[in-house]
Amino acid sequence: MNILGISAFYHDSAAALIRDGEIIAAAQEERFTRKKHDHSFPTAAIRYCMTRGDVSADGLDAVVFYDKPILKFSRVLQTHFAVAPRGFGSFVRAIPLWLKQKLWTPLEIEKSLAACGRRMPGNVYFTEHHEAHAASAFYPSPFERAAILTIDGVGEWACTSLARGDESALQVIKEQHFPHSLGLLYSAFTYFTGFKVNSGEYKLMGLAPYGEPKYERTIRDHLVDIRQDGSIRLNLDYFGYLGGLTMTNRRFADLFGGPRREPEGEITAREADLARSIQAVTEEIVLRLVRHAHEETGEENLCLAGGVALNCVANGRVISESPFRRVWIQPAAGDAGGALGAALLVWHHLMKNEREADGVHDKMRGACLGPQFEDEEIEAFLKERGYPARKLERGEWARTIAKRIDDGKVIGLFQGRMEFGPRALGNRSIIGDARSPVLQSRMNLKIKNRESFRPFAPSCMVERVGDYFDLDEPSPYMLLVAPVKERLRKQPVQESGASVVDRCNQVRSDIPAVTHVDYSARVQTVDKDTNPRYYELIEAFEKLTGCGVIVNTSFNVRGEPIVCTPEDAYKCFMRTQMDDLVLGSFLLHREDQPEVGDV
Amino acid sequence: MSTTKPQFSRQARASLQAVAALAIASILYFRFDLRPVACAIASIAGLTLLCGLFIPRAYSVIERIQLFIGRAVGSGITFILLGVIFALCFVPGRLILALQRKDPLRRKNSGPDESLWIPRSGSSDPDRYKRQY
Repeated sequence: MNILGISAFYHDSAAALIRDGEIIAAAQEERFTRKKHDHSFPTAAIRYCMTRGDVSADGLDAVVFYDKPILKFSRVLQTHFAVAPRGFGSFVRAIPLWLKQKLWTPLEIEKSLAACGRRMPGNVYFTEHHEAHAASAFYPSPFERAAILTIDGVGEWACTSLARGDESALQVIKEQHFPHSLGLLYSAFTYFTGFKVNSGEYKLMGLAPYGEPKYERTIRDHLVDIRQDGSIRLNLDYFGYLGGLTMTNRRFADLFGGPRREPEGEITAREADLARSIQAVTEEIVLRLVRHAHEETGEENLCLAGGVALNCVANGRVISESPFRRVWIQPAAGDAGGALGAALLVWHHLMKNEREADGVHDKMRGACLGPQFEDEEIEAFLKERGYPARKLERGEWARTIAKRIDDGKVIGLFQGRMEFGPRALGNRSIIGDARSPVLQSRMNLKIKNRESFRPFAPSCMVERVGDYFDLDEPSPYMLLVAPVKERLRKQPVQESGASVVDRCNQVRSDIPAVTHVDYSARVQTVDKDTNPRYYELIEAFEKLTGCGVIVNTSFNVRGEPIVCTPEDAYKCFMRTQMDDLVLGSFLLHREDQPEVGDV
Repeated sequence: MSTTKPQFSRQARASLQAVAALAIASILYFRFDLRPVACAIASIAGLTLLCGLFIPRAYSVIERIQLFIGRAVGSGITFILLGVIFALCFVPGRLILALQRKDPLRRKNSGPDESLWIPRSGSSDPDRYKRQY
């Protein structure tokens, strides 16, 4: 039975295909349309899923949409009732979109399937937003039973939910409702510090270690009432998102001593302090929620999803401080993962199909669920365009690339299936030498064109993680932050009074390119079975250099989605200052390529 | 800008637009005696038809202007209609909610020990997955 899950209309639209409960394909629409966080109906992602799954014209048995549009619309209307006569601006913006498109989801599905040459199945389902998140966290997890916590901005009404998963059943136990949302609180600070909401939250998290929690008390006293059980109430006098077009208002600015930082403006100590403060408050709330989930369910295992579950610093604390024995986090924890969760919920919970969980392996296939390009296709592309490349034989592939990294080269790595979710895990990655003291600023400024303070993540073989980081479990999806081992650390030359950029450039360990200012790192462990080629590469680098860690960042530049096809990869390679590009088995050197104007 | 392929050919679109504009011009001319306006519309109709049939580049400019005007008019009408709805429904609605002391957003402070979790009361009826609400 083929079930298609769809998420759309908010941010990160996506589609996922499952067959008899097995995940066949999943991808975000942005990768195909090349519009970052594309929220339009995911026709291109659906087309990919149908092709990958070889689904015939009438081979689709059910379609599941990841939320209930009418409930959401009702929330929008009730919010405007509650704030009128304020809110006219947001009303005029929101309502036409609802009337034109969002209320006609079944028609959109039919239209989209027709564009992909598939017939609309008789069964069309609508799950609730947080149910879809919960399902995305529980069903692919290795656990037979678990408590499930989902935290994001807002779904229909729910912003946070606690559920229990037991074999194939999933039961939501309790919720916290809009507008009292931890996700929106974090987004308000993202906005106020000059980053883009729904995309700059990672930046805020990355900025936090540069600051002091000076505003933590102010946030607790004025903005958010935190209860012992992790439930919260926001003081909406300080926020603009109910009736206005901004996340925060003038009172919020007065509270923090001035207006928000303009986007692209200078990042000062105030922004770093705000980031640190809201991060501390967020971690406290998440930990309370997790403890409450444990008390309420009595389960040993915890599954997490929702946008807030991408906060890997908070996740690191959950792992080390929560009473749960084991924790599993959905790698596509944001709305994209809702597409997968919706499909799995219908298969297991509604259709009551059995589920197998071995307690060890998850069902996400390393999150490598997107398109793959074989060497023959890549070779045809290179020949057609006349791009010089050298084919590396199986035995020399890893060794050659490892040698290039050791030579200080930055390499675009394109191989295998594209990752599902926001992280590049070695298939659509830019990689480099973690030992280099200049790599972080070089990659940030000259290759990724992004803020210099942002850290890079390390990839290491799963067996070796304990050699470099204080982490005793796998982190295959780069969702955990762990400290760099004490013995690898170095004391920076001077610290006090240094600017954010200066502090960023100080060498803090033997692997400085991946060591953040607080000696933490967002670790990815690589498993031989899940991603053998990437594993071989790291292994070869370790044999060559004695260091088993390489830098891994997503293969894109600022403002663009991660590359999907060889053509995207080549364009990105030529627009940046990467040295080499690996397309499957082919190695391309920058100096051999035609001028950019000819691309 | 929309990238959807037009349903009709350029010539057909231009002919349709010219016919519609001529019909409007006729009504204005014969029914309302607005002769200068009617003549202006008829001239535009003729120009649109000529461009549509023989000068594709000029016709694409005309279409862009039409699209811009259409969008502006559409946005204006939407703004006015939604303004009326907002003033007639939402503002009084808010007043009624205030009089009834109801707040769907639960903004008021509650006791310091009270949990803000809301127990889930949703039914386990499988048919609810068929519904959009």
